[in-house]
Amino acid sequence: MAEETGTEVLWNNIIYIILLILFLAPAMFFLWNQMNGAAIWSDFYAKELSKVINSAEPGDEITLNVHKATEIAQKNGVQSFSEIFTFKNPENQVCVKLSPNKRTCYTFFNDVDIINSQIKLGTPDNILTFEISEVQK
Amino acid sequence: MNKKAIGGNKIMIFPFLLVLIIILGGLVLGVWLFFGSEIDFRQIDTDLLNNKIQSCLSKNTIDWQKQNDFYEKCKINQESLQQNLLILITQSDKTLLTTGKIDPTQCFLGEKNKNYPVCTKSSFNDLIILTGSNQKANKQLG
Repeated sequence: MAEETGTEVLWNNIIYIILLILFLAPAMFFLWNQMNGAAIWSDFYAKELSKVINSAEPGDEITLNVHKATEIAQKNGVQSFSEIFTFKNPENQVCVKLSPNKRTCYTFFNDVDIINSQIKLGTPDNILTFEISEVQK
Repeated sequence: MNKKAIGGNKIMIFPFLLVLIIILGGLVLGVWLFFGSEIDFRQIDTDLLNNKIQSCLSKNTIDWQKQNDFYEKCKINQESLQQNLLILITQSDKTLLTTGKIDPTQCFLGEKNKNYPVCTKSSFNDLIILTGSNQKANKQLG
């Protein structure tokens, strides 16, 4: 009968701990990404913006409180606030980016162009403003 | 410890892995189901489109024979409708305008299948306006 040595006991435990870390790390990474709400908030903002654009008419100036979006984007390390909201006029799409390398886009059917979009910081919340104009071909 | 015991001890790694996979898998699946599902905006989309058409028809006279007259006067982008939106305008069973790839017969079957489009039907004078949406958010990299 051979007794299990201290080293063997240690190795057994180390293997268990390594396996635990290997499984836990990606799961925690996924959970962290989901829990800060980037996916759901970018979905919400893209759809809300498309609703506003669809209801608007040329000449309208839209002002929207986007403080929550800027907070999430900043936490997630999005480089610049100007990257958060993009309006693709040729494709009639509005895109929202709240985490690096991932954006959510939604199509609007109103045949208008979005111009002069900018984020005004600290008034007291962060505000997105843009203008609706006739399609400029 | 004899050899059998050592073997048994090593085999215990499999139940350990199984428990890990079940617990973490369940956690990830639960969070993904809760946070991963997107907001269903199709009813709002189709209602907005229907209202826009009604409002446009009340202000303009459309020449249905002339291609694009409807889109130009109503300021609706034709290309954006192609994939996931539907407009069907009929006048006493005669189709005046149809656009989009959505099959109108799938409208109002959403209770049976969530993947079917959500539609809105209204009437304006003698016109029947049917609009539908099956639009989902488009996730892009970059």
